Amino acid sequence: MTENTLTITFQQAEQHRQAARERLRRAEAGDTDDEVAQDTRFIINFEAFDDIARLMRTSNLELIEAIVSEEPASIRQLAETVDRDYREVHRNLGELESLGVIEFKQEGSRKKPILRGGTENIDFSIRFPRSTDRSGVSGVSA
Amino acid sequence: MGHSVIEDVEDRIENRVIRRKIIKTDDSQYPSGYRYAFHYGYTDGRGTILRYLENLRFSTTHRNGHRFETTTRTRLSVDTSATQQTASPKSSFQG
Repeated sequence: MTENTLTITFQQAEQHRQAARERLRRAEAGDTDDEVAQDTRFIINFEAFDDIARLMRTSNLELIEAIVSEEPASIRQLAETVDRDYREVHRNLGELESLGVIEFKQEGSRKKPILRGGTENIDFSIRFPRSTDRSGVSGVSA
Repeated sequence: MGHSVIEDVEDRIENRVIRRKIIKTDDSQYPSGYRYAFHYGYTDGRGTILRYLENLRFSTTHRNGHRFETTTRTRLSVDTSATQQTASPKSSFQG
């Protein structure tokens, strides 16, 4: 069963490719849809420390948490929720959008910030040491 | 009609974005049993460079400050069977 989750990983591109190849092989072998489905709805894998550092800033994590927990209807409502300046929140949301983590849903004149792809929750998986052994990778399954 | 997402992954390598999506489907429109999409682009203003959606290949070039998108129909390993060129101000991956 695929969870409606946005999974964020760091330097796991090869593991994701291997896992997908294995699922595809099993689909060809006749395994059921549930057995071959990706565990979570959408995965974003970052390869650069700078991107992860930007994503993990307190100001951005606060916004992500508020978006998931409070489901604000607009940028202004989100700014009120986190009690921060609208322009600063707007700038941070632009950064999260450019990282691919959030998007905006137009509702009348308002832009509602939501997680990418309409996912309902977010899961961060950063693992050291980096390994090419798929069996040992958290958040990735075959 | 059933479908199952086998892969939906986006790799972000500094300003490069690579997204792959594979869906197993029993929709008779897709006799192979699979739908797929691929996107390759940049976040630095160059936008989408190449994307595939099922048997359509979209590639983007820039000339004289204008952006051109070329759409090519592909069939299995055959490269092209028809080509249509249009100007497009923007292209984005619809996942």
